[in-house]
Amino acid sequence: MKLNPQITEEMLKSVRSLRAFAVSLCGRTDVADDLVQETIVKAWSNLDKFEEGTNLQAWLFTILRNHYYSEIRKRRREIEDVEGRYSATLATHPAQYGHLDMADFKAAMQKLPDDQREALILVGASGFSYEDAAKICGVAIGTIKSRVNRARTHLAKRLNIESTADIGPDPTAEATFSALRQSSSGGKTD
Amino acid sequence: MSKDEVDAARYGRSNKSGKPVLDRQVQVHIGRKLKAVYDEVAAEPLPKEILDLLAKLEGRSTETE
Repeated sequence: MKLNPQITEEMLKSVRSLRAFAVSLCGRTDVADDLVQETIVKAWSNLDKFEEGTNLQAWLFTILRNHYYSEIRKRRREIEDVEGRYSATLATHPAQYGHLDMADFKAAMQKLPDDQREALILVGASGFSYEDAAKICGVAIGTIKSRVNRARTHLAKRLNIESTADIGPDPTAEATFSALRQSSSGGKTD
Repeated sequence: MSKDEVDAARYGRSNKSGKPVLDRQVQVHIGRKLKAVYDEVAAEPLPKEILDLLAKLEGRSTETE
């Protein structure tokens, strides 16, 4: 198969974000890493079906998401019944910013219904437009908007954020955020 | 009061459809946390199995060109 080197490069760039999406979908890095590998293989063998000029990252996310729901989640449910739910959620991930509120946030994220969590992540973290997120999930734009709103409301409730006064200053998150924003604006991912 | 109305009163105004709308600041706060959690993973070096797989596929594609 003849590959357009530009597509190959773009695909490589997307893999980190794809992996972050996988981790937030399934809550476990080991499962996420398998999922990413299976997605890459699938995408690579179907590259001829990719329409050049459309959003490659959205295409990869769609493959990963569909594969997750059709295969992985079923398998996971069986495992979880044995292990107990949430026994190994994002906590298996080394908490770089090991604040309690970060752990609370991750736990609250994992408790969101799947459809709300993925909508919130796609729009709020992966940086997709509502339109692309709707395509990835195979639903209408309005559905994505309402899922994102419901997800935020659920999170606020679980985290007991009732007003601005409850938030307080959050220098670490702010510093992390701006540092990451700066490093990513350089266009280099590693 | 319905559950939605209670939520709307506690977590923010209601929009036209009667669904609760969060305070803008709360939305920003949640957005930052979300981004921080996500970027923490995205900033990690890729695991060896994924790098090996990419190298293998890339090698294959340059061979055939």
